[in-house]
Amino acid sequence: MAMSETTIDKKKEGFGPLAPLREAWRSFAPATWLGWQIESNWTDPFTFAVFNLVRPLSGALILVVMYLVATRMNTRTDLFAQVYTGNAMFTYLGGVLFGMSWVIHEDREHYQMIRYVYIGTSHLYWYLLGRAVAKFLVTTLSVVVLLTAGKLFLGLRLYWSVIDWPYFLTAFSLGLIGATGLGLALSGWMMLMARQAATVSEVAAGVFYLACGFLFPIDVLPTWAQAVARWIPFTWWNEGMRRGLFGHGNSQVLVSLSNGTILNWLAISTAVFGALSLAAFFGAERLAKRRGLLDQITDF
Amino acid sequence: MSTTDTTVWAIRTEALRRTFRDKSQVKKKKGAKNGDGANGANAGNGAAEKAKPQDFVALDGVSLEVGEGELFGLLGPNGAGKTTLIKILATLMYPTSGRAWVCGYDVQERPGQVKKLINMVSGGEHSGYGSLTVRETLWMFSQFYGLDSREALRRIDELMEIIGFKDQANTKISKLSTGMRQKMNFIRGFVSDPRVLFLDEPTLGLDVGVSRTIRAFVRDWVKARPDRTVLLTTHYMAEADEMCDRVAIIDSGRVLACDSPANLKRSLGRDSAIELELAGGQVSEGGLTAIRGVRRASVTTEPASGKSEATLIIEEDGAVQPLLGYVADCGAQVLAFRKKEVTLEDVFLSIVGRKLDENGNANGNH
Amino acid sequence: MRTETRMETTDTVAQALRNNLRASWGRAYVRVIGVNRELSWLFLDIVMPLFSIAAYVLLYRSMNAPREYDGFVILGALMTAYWLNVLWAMAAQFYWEREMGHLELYMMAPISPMAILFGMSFGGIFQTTVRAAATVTMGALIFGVHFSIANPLAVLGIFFLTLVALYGLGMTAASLYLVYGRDAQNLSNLLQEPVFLLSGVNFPVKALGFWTAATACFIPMTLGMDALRQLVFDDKTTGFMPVGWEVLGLVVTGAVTLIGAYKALKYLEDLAKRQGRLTLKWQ
Repeated sequence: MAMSETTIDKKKEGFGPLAPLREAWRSFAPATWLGWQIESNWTDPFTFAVFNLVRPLSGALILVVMYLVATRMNTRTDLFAQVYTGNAMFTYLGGVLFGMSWVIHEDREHYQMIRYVYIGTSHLYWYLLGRAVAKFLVTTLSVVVLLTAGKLFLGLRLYWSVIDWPYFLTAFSLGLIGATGLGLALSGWMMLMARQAATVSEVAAGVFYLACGFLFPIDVLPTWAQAVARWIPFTWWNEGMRRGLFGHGNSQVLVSLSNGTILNWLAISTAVFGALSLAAFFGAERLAKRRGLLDQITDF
Repeated sequence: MSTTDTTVWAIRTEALRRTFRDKSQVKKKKGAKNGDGANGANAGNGAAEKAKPQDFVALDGVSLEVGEGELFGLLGPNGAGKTTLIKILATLMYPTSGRAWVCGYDVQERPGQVKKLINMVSGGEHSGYGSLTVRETLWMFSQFYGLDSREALRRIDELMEIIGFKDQANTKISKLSTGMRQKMNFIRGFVSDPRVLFLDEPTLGLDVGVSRTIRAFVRDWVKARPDRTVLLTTHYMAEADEMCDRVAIIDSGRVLACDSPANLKRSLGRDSAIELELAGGQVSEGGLTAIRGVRRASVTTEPASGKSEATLIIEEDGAVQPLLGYVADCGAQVLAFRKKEVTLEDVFLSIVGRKLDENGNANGNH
Repeated sequence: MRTETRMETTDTVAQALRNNLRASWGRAYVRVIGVNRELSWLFLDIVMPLFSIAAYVLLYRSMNAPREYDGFVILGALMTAYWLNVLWAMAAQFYWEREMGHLELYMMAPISPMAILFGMSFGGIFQTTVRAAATVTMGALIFGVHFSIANPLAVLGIFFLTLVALYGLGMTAASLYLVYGRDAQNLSNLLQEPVFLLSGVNFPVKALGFWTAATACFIPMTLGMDALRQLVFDDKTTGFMPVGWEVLGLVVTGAVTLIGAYKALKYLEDLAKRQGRLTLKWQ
């Protein structure tokens, strides 16, 4: 029977327990390379500088001036360090969310290659994850520049000796997993939307910027918003990273919780968020296929 | 409004030349061998070396005269310079040298006057804002020609009726298929009722039915009033043959011949066109043209089947015997032999030395 | 040779004006009608700035800043909307028009390309005003911002002058983008946050120090916002310079940018025709 022959052939091609991983790697590695080529813009230093240095630095400087006019203090304070680093670390969340969802539009409509990625042997999400890694690497450059500039020119109170590296890296990695999961969910949504809806990911990032204490402690939010914030992994991510970097957080409502509790909440909320995000991605993908939207061109 | 009587053509060009700087030639990597520098795949890491920029000649001394009321065709392969010529006449580009006039106005010195008299439709054009409907889009473009809104909408409805597009009047542009969008843009060109209309490959990519409607409409439109002129560029031989009063054959920026399709065909004189279908063997264009009495030859081979098709222009019937002898010597088997009526395709082959395929590419030797 | 009649059609000033106004309205119509047609974008365009208003207001509150600073953020959001419109829907627009194949149709029509730019400006102002008014009203209501406007006419006048200067700048930039092709997008990106910073979107511009603030006055938004901050909150202490000087600055900037746009467009249209780049896509 032709059907069973095909099955046997496929098994021959990828035999063994590592076969799915090998297939995933085949998608993931070139996607990372491709994303790096697109994101880094190494060939054009001007473009690279605009996106990765000038824009983030200017955004940070707006906060610096706001801080200066509001507090009339200098920048060598804990408060400034919390605001400045919170904004810098948000770059990761914003970058990964926008980067991953934009891939769908860019590859679908500009490069028109998503259909070829899609009909490949490994799943589309490996390709998206590869692109997310590239985005992460480029964002890291911006964050390093931001923090170095803060340290050198603004006296940012961030000390190498104070940083609890294992704790910080654990929190940081867990948060990145959450961000990537959410990026996948947004990518799924984008499959159903016209190109112009790409700003949705910016709106999503805006919600987390506001609700999760990147810029200011969640204490200033209304009580109901604080309750919502506790269900979002990025609130715990923020608190965890701050405790790792400075030895303490910036929220009074979370101050009674131990470092371990913060990590636990981060892990639990990331797991729940990640599972929901994956479900949302696969659901949207199925819907896009049913509606024939996978390779749509919204040419207007 | 003042009127000046003078003797002019609807379109006239004089030794028109247009060159472009080919930027891809500007930088060559050091160490790159001939032919591998373009993609840089084998280029070394040495510093970029500046090479002298090469000028690409799009138009090379084009002199044309198109009379008022004429439907004039420009026939040539892709890259022949047809679109460049239209852009110069439509005031969108300056010539490098030479001059051009539309209805007596120099396109470079009096663009304002020229713009009032012209319009242009390009095949494959996708203009239009997605959030507007077809009728709104056409109205918007009519406003750029100072048309009164009521008159504009009357014309739009009339044109949509004729072209068979009325059902889509209130459809958003974003919902239109490529063919429908092209139909809309075709109407756009006529709304301002221009005296000179440039149609740049207007039926490109359209299905047979729509193309036929468009061709019939253009013919009727130009004949309806004696002061209307159409300059049509195409690489479809049949289209040029069927529609145009006169045709200019253009290749590599030069006008090689210009006359009515009938006269062009007659210009082959006693020459005849022969088509051969061959299987196997190695028949070459060089070998065919070396035969006494064969003026031009074009051979296309299908690699998968090994079959070839040769089109030849022969000066005398006496060339047929040596021709068949050569084919046999090459080890090819003759599947079909046809002597046919001379068409514009044969004229093109005879003049240019290459055959024009349906995609607008010229194949064969010079 | 055949004989034909050459029609020398010379439009009167009134005819030319009428034709160009028709063209402007035709181009503006796309944007005016677009506001009604794309309600989902309208929602996003209102919600996005509201988030940024909330973030900056709450940041000020967390730092115990004076309450009038909430108002600075609202005003900043208003002008930010116009600046983004100028950057993306004016300056970069000619580049997109060329990619879509519209530019050659505009340039071939018997009107001044300035009419198209005016149409785009009018449509852009209308579009942005609808969005910005909604954002500002909601922001002001949510955060209880109190405006104390002593002279509403002066406020409207300065607002109008600021828009003229801003969109004049956008028109000049559109002409430049005509020639610089794809880099236009990068230039717009470059001019986003740095201009927010220099023009003092969320804070009094004098906080930047005299020389930086003085240099930033070349950006019309800086002068407009500084004057509006003083008038809308009736607080002269935050101003960088007296409102009268700022009005003069806006008038001069408006005139310079409009004349500049006309000259630049003429020069660059000529250059683009010479180089054959007016209709060149994907460059």
